[in-house]
Amino acid sequence: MQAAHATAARVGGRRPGLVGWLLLCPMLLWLAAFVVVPTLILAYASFTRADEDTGFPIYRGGLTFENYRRIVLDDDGHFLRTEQEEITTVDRDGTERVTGTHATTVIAAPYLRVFGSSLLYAGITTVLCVFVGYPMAWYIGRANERTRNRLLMLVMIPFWTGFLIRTYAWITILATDGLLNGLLQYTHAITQPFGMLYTPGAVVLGLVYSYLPFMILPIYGSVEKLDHTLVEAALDLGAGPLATFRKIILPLTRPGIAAGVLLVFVPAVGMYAISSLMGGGRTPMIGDVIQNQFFTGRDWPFGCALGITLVAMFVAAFAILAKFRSSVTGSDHAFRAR
Amino acid sequence: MNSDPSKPMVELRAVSKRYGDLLAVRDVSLTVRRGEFLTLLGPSGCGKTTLLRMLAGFETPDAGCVLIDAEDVTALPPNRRDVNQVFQSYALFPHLTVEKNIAFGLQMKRLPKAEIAAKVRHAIDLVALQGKEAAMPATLSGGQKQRVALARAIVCEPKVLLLDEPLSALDAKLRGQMQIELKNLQRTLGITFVFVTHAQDEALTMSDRIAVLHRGAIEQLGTADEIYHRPKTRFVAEFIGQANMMTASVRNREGADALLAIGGEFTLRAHVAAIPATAQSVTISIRAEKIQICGDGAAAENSFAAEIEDVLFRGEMLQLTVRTPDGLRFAVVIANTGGARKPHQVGNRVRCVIHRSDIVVVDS
Ligand SMILES: Nc1ncnc2c1ncn2[C@@H]1O[C@H](COP(=O)(O)OP(=O)(O)O)[C@@H](O)[C@H]1O
Ligand SMILES: [Mg+2]
Repeated sequence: MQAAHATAARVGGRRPGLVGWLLLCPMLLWLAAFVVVPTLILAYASFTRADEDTGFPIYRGGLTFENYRRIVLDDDGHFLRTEQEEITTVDRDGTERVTGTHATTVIAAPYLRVFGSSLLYAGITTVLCVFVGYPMAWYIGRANERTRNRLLMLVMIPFWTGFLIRTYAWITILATDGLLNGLLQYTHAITQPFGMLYTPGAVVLGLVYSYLPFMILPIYGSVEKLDHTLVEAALDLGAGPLATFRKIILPLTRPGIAAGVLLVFVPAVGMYAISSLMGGGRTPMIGDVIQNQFFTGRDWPFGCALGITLVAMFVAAFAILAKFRSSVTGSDHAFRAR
Repeated sequence: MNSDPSKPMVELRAVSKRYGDLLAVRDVSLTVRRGEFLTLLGPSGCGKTTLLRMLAGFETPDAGCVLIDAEDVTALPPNRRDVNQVFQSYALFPHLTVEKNIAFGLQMKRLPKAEIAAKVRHAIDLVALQGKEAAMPATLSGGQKQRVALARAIVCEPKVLLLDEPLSALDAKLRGQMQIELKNLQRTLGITFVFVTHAQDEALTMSDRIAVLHRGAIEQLGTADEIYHRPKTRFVAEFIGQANMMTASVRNREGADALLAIGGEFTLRAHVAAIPATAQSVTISIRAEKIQICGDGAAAENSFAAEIEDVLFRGEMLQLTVRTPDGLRFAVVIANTGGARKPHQVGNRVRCVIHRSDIVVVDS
């Protein structure tokens, strides 16, 4: 009993009593109705075939792995495909000759590539958000209360308008005949407008812009909680600013960073619209592909399979991460006990 | 480095610090000797912490300069000053074990691993924390945290150790014990201590010298004995111990003695070395425990009859209020030797005696 209690306390809370369960009821019902049940429906639909006309799942038409096969393998049934590009030279008389081959490139199945590029976009976005968001969060967290509230307000103001509207706003800024090019030309910084929109950079910009607040807020939370006398103690013990940051500030604000990374990375992987609107659809993200299955693509079961794959990836990642954390950072417990 | 023993370890030269409209520290000059235990004593808000933070390097004085071991450190950041601080809240790093907390300063000095380990072990022995090396700070009691904070600072062998009300979070019993331990530690290590407190008993127990602060300025600097028995100002007399403060007029003088009249006809003979020659009216301080109660006996010098108006039981002390026939009230503290006999009761008539050298004239 004592031991069980201690364990429960260590993993971050005690068991809910009867009243606790009653209080949890609305949330559990909500989760069941809007998360668990829909996910199960999606999972089931992902094993069905699509109706040729409507694209809806044929629920009574028998189950198939076909949708998952299409995700993992390419049209020829290969998981990976190797490709050698030939190098051709044009002779003086105009005939082309093959003079060699480039190094072999290994190409994954198309949908896996989309997953890959989505993860890459989300990863870059997350890293940028950490580097841009941390200093901002630090500044806000260390400011006096009045400044702090104003800055937090500024961070949240973009949420007052719709996300699509904000994305279109970026398009008017970045377009070749847009505001930024206009400004640069007006100030004679450049002579020719250059294409910023419809590049991977524009997509990353859009993603960072959209998700930055989700990085700033949790980091701000842990900065604000950080006891500043600890920083003074580190300085007092001879640590320079850099060592103080690395040894004291960073470890103590890590929970905020971890929360921010989750809040940014997970939704960013599945983000849609930004890549098609700001990237011109050249490097689609998985969110766009999924969305497409339910609209113009008209293949709901395949969309479901893509969605379930995305969820499964996250679940697996979390499981591995959790195992890794509990076995490596034993000090995490005492840390939480604070 | 130069360590000329005749030079002071710490020197403040006309230091001032302003926060907006508030002059938190005003024109403080102070020297702390090598190996001295100096206490900054004063009520909350008098500028003790600010003064200490200027020594540590967390605040820069608006005027004046700070010297540590004859080196001007006014512009040096805290990490480049050879002083360490014990924080009131301990400020232990919550994500590091006791051992790693203590080793932190040495690691920053980039000492060899073996040397760090040896020093840390020694420090843990000094503060009697054996067996707690791997504990996290959150699992320690207040007293243990206190020791870790102390060990973490002294292991760096600073020239000066700064302590900002380090005992105020401990319960009374532990505090008394830590006072003695701290003093012993300071003697053993020979480190110069600058200790901040608002508790006079702490200051009187531990210090070689005490600087009494009031509104950002030093009111008096001296040994516990001097501060206690020869307060220079009204503030010091009232802040430390319990004193009867009175306004008296000088009747006449006979050498070092003066006859002082308090109120109307009540007079006391006082042995006062230097009464201002021109002063007609002076402020005097008489410590409550310097007034003796001797039953209803014969009339000695400076003795007067009074009636006990109030008795407070204070454990080893009794706190009385006595009233003379002229209506003057004195606070009197006497040893509680009565037991079941209860010789001092409200309404009793007693004779009080004040020795003439126990009357102190202060600046008002
Ligand atoms: N950072 C600050 N900003 C403004 N006022 C301050 C600051 N630090 C201290 N003060 C003020 O300066 C005065 C002295 O403070 P402090 O040195 O902390 O006193 P003590 O330690 O003796 O209680 C107080 O009135 C306090 O309110
Ligand atoms: Mg203070």
